[in-house]
Amino acid sequence: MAHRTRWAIALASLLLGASACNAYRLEPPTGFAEVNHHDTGARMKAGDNVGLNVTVFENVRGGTLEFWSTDLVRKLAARGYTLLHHEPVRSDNGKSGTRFDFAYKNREDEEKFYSVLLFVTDKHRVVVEVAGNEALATQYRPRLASIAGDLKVRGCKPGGDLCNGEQAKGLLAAPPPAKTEKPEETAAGDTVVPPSGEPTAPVDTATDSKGSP
Amino acid sequence: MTHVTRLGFALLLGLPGCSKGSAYERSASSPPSEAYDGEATVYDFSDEAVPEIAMAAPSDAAVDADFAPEEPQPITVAQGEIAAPRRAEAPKKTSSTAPDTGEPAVAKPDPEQDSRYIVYTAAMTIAVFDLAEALAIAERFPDTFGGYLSSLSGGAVILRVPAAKLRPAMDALAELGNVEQRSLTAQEVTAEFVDIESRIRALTETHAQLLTLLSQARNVEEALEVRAALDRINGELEVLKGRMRHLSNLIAFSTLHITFIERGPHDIVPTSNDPFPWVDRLGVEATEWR
Repeated sequence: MAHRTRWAIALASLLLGASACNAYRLEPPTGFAEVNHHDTGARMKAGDNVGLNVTVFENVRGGTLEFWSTDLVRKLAARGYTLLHHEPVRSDNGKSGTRFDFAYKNREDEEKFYSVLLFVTDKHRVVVEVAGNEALATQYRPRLASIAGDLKVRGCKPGGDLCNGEQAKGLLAAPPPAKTEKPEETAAGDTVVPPSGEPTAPVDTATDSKGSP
Repeated sequence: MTHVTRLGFALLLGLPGCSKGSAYERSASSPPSEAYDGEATVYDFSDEAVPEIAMAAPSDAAVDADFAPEEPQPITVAQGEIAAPRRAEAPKKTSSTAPDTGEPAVAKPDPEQDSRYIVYTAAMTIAVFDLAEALAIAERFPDTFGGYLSSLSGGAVILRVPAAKLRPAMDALAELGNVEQRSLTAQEVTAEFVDIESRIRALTETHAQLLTLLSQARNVEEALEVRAALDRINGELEVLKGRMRHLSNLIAFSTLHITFIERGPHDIVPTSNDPFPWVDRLGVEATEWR
């Protein structure tokens, strides 16, 4: 009996140890099926071709949520993504991250919605992307807060403050030098940065943690 | 005693050679070294130095992309009737395109300023997310920088850009995406240019003398002989002037070969000078299913 107990404890600790190696844990949200899963992420698909990707990148010293948020928005803006909105989110295990909603037109001029959840820990950057046809945005965007709420993010050092780092403020994107479009204001009061735009005006950071866009 | 002797020798031997200060003083006060002389010769544009370099080795020389081509002073090469022979027109300033013919103006650098004639050829390979847009922008480059579009095929574009605008044009192109390859080649054609120029001058003088002879011909036979010689000279002049126009065009308008490569979110293309290309792996194309 004692022998069996020892085996059970060893097996349990082995399983716990293995799961602790993963940078994240996310069950496929309702309506999504997991297409593949590997060490650095997973790909999921909904019936209407909306995709959900989880990608894990290693973090580096000095890589804060604020730093990576700015980097993400700037580089996506250079590729034609228009930042519509961003707000703080919180994971299932209480780590703070940021949610970004972008508008995008692909090469065929089809409008797409693209949302990103970004969490930064001492060890990793965990990125959850959701993308699909713009017409499906109203169906999927409201679910992002709950997807973030189902996500467990690991890699925080005990006592460290990186996992609850500050949100990026005044996110900027760069327009091409020739085009100097005037930033527009959304209904929510956020400044919309034109795709590939030069920093024109800071994008306001929403303060609520689980609000809808 | 032995120890003291050794120390004394060491001091005596060491003093002249080990003093960094004296060595520095010597090099600073001495005349420039040979290497320095060589560099000075390269940048010496005097009449003595340049032809020696240009004619001894008129080979292609890859130069640093930062090298700024000097602004040529455009001239028009005489295209007039050879029947009324005259010397090639003196260099005069024109716009980058000849308004009469619509063709690019034939230009050459002002010999007063720079006696070297150089043909620049540049090539760039740029990875872009939107190939069609990049091609459209490249097509419009002559509107901004002058010159003209020489060819457009697939993702390959050849632009002829005024030599003075080559570097700004390359910098503007680099803004379109990630520059994966960039090169600039300078071919010195001074020797060929000067040779053609002097041959044209000599033939033009001969032409003028033949015309004088023709006017002094006493009979038809003499006139026919002079006329035959004139025709031969005319033919040679035409060939040389054609070559001169072509060469002048090559000098005035640098050739810029651009190859656009389409990239997607899946392509891991190192972003220029960016150590964190992580966002290259993200995006709608990488996420949405089709």
